[in-house]
Amino acid sequence: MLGLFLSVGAFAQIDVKGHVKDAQGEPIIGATVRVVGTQTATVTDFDGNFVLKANQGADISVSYVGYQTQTVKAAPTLEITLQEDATMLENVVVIGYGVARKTDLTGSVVAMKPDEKNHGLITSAQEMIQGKIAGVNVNTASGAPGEGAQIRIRGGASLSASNDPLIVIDGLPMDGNGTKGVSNPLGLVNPNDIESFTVLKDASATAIYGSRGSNGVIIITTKRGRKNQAPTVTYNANVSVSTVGKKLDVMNATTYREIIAAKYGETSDAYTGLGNADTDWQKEIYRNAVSTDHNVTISGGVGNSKWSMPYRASIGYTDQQGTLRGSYYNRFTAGFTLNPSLLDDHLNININAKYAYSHNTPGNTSAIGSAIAMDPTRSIFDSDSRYNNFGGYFEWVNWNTDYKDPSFTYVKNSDAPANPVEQINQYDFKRYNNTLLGNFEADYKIHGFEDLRLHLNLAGEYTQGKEITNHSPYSLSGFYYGSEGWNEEMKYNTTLQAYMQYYKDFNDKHHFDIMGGYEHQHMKYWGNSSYWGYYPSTSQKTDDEGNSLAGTVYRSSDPSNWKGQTYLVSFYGRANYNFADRYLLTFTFRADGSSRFADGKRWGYFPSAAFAWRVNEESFLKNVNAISDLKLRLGWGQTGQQNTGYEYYTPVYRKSTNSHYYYPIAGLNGVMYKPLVYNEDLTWETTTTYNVGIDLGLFKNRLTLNVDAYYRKTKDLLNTSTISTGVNLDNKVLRNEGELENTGIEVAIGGKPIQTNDWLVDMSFNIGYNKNKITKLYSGRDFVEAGMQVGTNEPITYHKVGLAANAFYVYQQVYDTNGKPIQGCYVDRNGDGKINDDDRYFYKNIAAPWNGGFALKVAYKNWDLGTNFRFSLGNYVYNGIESGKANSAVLSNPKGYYENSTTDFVALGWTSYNYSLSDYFVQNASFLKCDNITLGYNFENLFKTRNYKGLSGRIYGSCTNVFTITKYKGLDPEQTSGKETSVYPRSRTFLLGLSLSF
Amino acid sequence: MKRMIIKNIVPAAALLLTVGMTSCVKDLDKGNIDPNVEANVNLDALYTKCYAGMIMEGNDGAADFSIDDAGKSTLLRNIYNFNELPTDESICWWSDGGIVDIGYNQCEPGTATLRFLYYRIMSNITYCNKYIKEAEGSDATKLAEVRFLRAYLYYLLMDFFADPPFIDENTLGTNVDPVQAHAMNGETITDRAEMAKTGRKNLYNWIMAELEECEPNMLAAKPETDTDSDYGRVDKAAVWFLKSRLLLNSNIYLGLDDNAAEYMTNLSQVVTLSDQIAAAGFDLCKKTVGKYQPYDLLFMGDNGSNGASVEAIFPLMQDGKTTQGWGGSLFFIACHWNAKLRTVTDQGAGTTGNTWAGMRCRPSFVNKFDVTAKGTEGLTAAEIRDASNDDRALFCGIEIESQPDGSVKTKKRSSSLGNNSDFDGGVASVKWNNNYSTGASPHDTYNVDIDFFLFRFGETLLNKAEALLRLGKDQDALDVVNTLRARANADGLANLTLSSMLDERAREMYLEGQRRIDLIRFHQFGGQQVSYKWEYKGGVKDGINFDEYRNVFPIPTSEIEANSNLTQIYGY
Repeated sequence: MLGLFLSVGAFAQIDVKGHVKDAQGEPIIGATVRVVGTQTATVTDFDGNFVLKANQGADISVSYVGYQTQTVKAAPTLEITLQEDATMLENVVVIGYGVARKTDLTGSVVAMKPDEKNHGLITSAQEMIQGKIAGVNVNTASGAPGEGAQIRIRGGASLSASNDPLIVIDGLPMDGNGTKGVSNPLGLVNPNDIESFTVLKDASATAIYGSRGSNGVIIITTKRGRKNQAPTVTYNANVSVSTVGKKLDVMNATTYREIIAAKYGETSDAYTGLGNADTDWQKEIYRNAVSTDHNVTISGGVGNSKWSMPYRASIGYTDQQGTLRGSYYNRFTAGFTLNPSLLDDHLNININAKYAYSHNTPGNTSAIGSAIAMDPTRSIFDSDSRYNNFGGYFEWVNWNTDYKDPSFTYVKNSDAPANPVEQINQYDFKRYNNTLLGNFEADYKIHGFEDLRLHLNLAGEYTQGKEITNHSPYSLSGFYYGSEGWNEEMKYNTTLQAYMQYYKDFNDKHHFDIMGGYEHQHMKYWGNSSYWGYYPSTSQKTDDEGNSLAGTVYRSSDPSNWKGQTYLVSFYGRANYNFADRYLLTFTFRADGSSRFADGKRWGYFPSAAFAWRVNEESFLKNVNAISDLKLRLGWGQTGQQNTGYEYYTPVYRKSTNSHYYYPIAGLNGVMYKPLVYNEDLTWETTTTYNVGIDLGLFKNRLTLNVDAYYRKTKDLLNTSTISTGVNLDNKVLRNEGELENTGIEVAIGGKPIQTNDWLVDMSFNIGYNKNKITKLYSGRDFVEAGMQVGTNEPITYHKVGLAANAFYVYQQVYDTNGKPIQGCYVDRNGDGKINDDDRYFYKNIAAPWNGGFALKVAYKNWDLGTNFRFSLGNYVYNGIESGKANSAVLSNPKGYYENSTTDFVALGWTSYNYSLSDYFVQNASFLKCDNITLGYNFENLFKTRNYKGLSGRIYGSCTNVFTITKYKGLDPEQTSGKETSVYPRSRTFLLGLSLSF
Repeated sequence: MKRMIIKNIVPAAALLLTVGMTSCVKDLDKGNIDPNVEANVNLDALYTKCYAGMIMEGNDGAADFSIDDAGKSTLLRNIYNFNELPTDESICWWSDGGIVDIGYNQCEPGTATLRFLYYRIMSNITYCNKYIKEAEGSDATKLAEVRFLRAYLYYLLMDFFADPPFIDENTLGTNVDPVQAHAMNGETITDRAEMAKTGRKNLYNWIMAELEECEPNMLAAKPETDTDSDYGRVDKAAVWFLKSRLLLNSNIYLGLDDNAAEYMTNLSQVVTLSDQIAAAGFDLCKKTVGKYQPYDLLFMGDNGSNGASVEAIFPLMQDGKTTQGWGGSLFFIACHWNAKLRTVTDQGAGTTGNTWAGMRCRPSFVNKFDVTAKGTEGLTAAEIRDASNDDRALFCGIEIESQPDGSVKTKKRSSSLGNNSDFDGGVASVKWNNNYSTGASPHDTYNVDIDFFLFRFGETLLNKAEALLRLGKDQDALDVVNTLRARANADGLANLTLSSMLDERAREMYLEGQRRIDLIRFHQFGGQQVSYKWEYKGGVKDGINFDEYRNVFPIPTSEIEANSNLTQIYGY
């Protein structure tokens, strides 16, 4: 055939010999080379070379999947470099149970390819989307190495049920439960292996995930090799140094002595009892932490025109030190992917396996609270013999002979702060975790009936996590008996998905496709724990029979065993209709059955419909060059929530399992059955979402604008709240509490104002506004407790009709003329002359109505500079550190020890813990954070020789958590719970990194 | 190929899938596999639960109900907080949870600690209701015992709140908000003061009726020691005891005049019931073990076996190894002690849990002993006991700290409450300690073995004496009181008045959770006309009177919010 054409116009033709490579100099195998306007074509060979005949000066186009097509004039020798198509990902988007062209999307879907250049320290996948997507809010809970994050999409739709989005990794919906050693499912994926994130925000997109779609869905796909690509090895590494961002400004020894002298007088017991040292306890427990990260990847593809098998394998090793002494996080990851394509591209198979091993020594985080409470006039060590039993560390001790052991006559005063250095150094607690995640996916286009595809995905996860404790009898953590033992958890999560998809183009104008499928998921959890110690050999204790207990086992609790499981069975379908590429309609439906609910309550049905109009395809816009994309979207859908926190829902009795808590009455063994609270009327929570969106692309998409507005109404809200006692078996029960609505708007703007050969300026900005409102409580009550408690278990947040969820219900503080809050002095808001519950009022809430971020990237030749900012406006945090230290009467505690504080807290002059419900502690925590600044230099063709394409890569430096601008008086305004307590501080990290490809 | 696929393979696959899916849908029934829960009731274990709720936190040490601090959730600890702290016997300085407010007679519906009291009692009643519902037709004795426990819990509700919601086995599972006691028989009352009166009366009558019905099925009355199989179970004597306590307080509960004929009838029943208890073999512990006097033995680690239990009409069991808890007997050591106090035999507390250092006795109460509050300062417990001529004066006026070199550092304790801002001021009580009278080791270094005698024969004698006195039989009453005093090696009184009767109750029963109702019965608690004032009464250093409505406590805000049928207690 080819020969025929060649012979026809042979006289004007020349032989074109060429080489096709990518930006890194890799030969591209299998690229299509075509003489434009003819049927002459060939593909590049294994070395990226091709030969064909063409007219002198004819246009030759070279195309390859994932690269921008290039057109060159025919010449005897050609060297063609294909640029990666950055918009490729945006063109094809992974959605629930399938992929879609971006132009065909009808729902609010954001696809994001991690920016491999503009980022700071990334050890976990969640950090890659932080601040990047409008309406998606990612906050890490603390600065502990290996810590998980809270992810909220559009503010969350539930109250006490989970507000976490569903995370789907290569088709496997994760169960959302952490296991010992892994705080969230994203922790086990090496960020370097991630190809893309797709965030499904509105119900028309998430309804296909039915009962798990209410809080949005994040779909993660991992990288694959490319067809017929020569093997490429890449190496990424970085080294970083982290420091503690901000410490609490507690008093040093000198100031402390002055304050004690001023409060109690220099002759007082309080003053004379002070020590002589000057110890900065916070300095003693924190350090500059050094971490390294290495990743090696090999990817490529083998095959020919009939079959192909791309492959990719990677290993990664992360060694992270925490800024808290004694805290480490090590992770080893390995992954491989095979994507054979067989039977003439009819059978496409995807085999994926990932393994992660993590070893985490979290360090004794109790030391963080101790370090801000411990008396600065004490030394770390004290040679006095009463501290011998504490390894020589100074502690507040009491004489005590109750151990009946002449070598242990002092015990720690259990109320007093502990020596933080002792807590760090004599703490032996480790966590291990092994996770295996894999899937086998087959997609078969039926021979001879190619419109019908069968798709099967078998995916599974197995996790084993273990905590190991080994505390010495001379440590506070294991005092006297020592403490050895473990707590082990295992889980597996398997899923089978099978669906059929049928495409039909009736003619040029009508396109139709329909998909229907079935999914079965089984999650099983089990675990055991056992802890023990020993009576020291010096113990003189005897049992009831008079036998010596020295050296025998002492157990403070019994070994325990537990098990649980959940099944989810689902049927789902989707139909798309596309008229003339202008009008797009999508319908989805899902039926979910969950073993979490009792029979009769367990099936939920979740429909959705969406419409999109591609305005730019209309004749009146088609020729307007400035507008490259304009789409209007309308969507409606219903989703559910089944993650109640319970694995089953049938009435049961909890049995005593710990033999230290028996009540042996009437000759019985003392085992108790506790009938558990049960709500037989419990049903699904359902969220209905309406979404309107507009996508605009101008000037060949150099300027893009996406706006979404939504209204979400959740009914049958799952919430655990107080009920009248006596009608059920607890004073709180999980029930369908009421209704709430979220109204919001999201705007994302992206632009490349400058794009020349040497310069690139890339900017993006996103902002989301969400207004949350409780609209109804079924009980007829005006408000219910929302969960946060302060002081001595005093509820402070409530869900009140007409207000946002989690509103603070507080007393209005009265201030003196100097602006100082007066202890216990509240405004008598109802003017009845008494200060009581009736004077409390609703003031602010924990969620930020405004969230967003912006990124800037400037590249000049080989250099690039990038930065990411993130902001949160209008969120309030309860300053628990300040309320916990407001009582300065305990500086010299009557229980026989000292407690440190800050001069500011002492200046309040408060002498009680009793006023924690004051609105003084509810503080504006709006913030602007500069998450990172990165400077990089890219190079290629290094050491290039005739036979070697050379080395390419990148070297970069970055700073993470650069600065925070806030009015908040506490340490860190970013608090996922809305309350700040002494948690592991977030660190500032300086990083130097290198990527190499050879 | 094409035809074969469509004709054969697709239907076959569809069939296979259908079969597979049907069986998979059945998986949804396989919910619960947790070995630690059970779908079916075990009546004995539920019966055990009802008893355990009298002193323990709950299964495996967790609170029985949704509350944040299991240790504060126990019944005993809350009885103490609300019956001792508002009185002359005890005061606490801890600034959290409104404990100080309770001690200053300023408890409000939002006071955090109130929720622990209220929900504990309601939770225990709910478990009893559950047992009564499940156990219909089973072991009649156990059923009667659980009904008795419920009646006792209702007695507490009636005493603390006057008009709480009324819940029984029929309320459980209805999802209908319960009505208050004032409406339990269908009454409609709008006047709040009237509600409280009617509610109390309704409950009083209901409790009495329950006790009548329980009694025939209860175990025979007899004292036991902790090795007897029925030790810890309530028997007929417990019924008689609770009845007599209700009758003695019926002037308050039923709003009777102190001279009313009905009250006189009730008082003579108190005498009869007390005699019935004595006739069943209950008696004062009169044993001495080594250096320990009979009164000491009642509050020690081995009180279940050292002979003291002859006095235990309803002992709540504790064992440092098998029946642990923060808020049972341990609380009575932990809250009253710091690590530098010593018992009358110069011992420590017998537990490392002795450092909470919260509660001290107010001077007005200690002055009822010969030693006087001021007189305790600087004295050891043994010296105070000598100076009082009364074994019951178990106080420590000196703090002793052993030094590593073997020397001791001592510090005189002040009896003045000062600003009530620390443990240093006020008289420390060492009434409870976990030592064994035999010198043997307690079972655990932290958790205690002390059983708590919730109903104690000593009170029976006091009730009898008071009833006799109120009936005008002064000499008989005096004899009973002097019997009690003799056991404590205290000289007999020459005569007995209502005032000295009240003081005698304090000396015998202090810190055991009885004081508030005693003061109310003698009209010495709430009310602007009351003559007796103690330090920090009403929250003022020298004491002032507070309104009578504060004789009972409010229902916690959270319950008022949750139950639309409730009206807050009169006055609050």
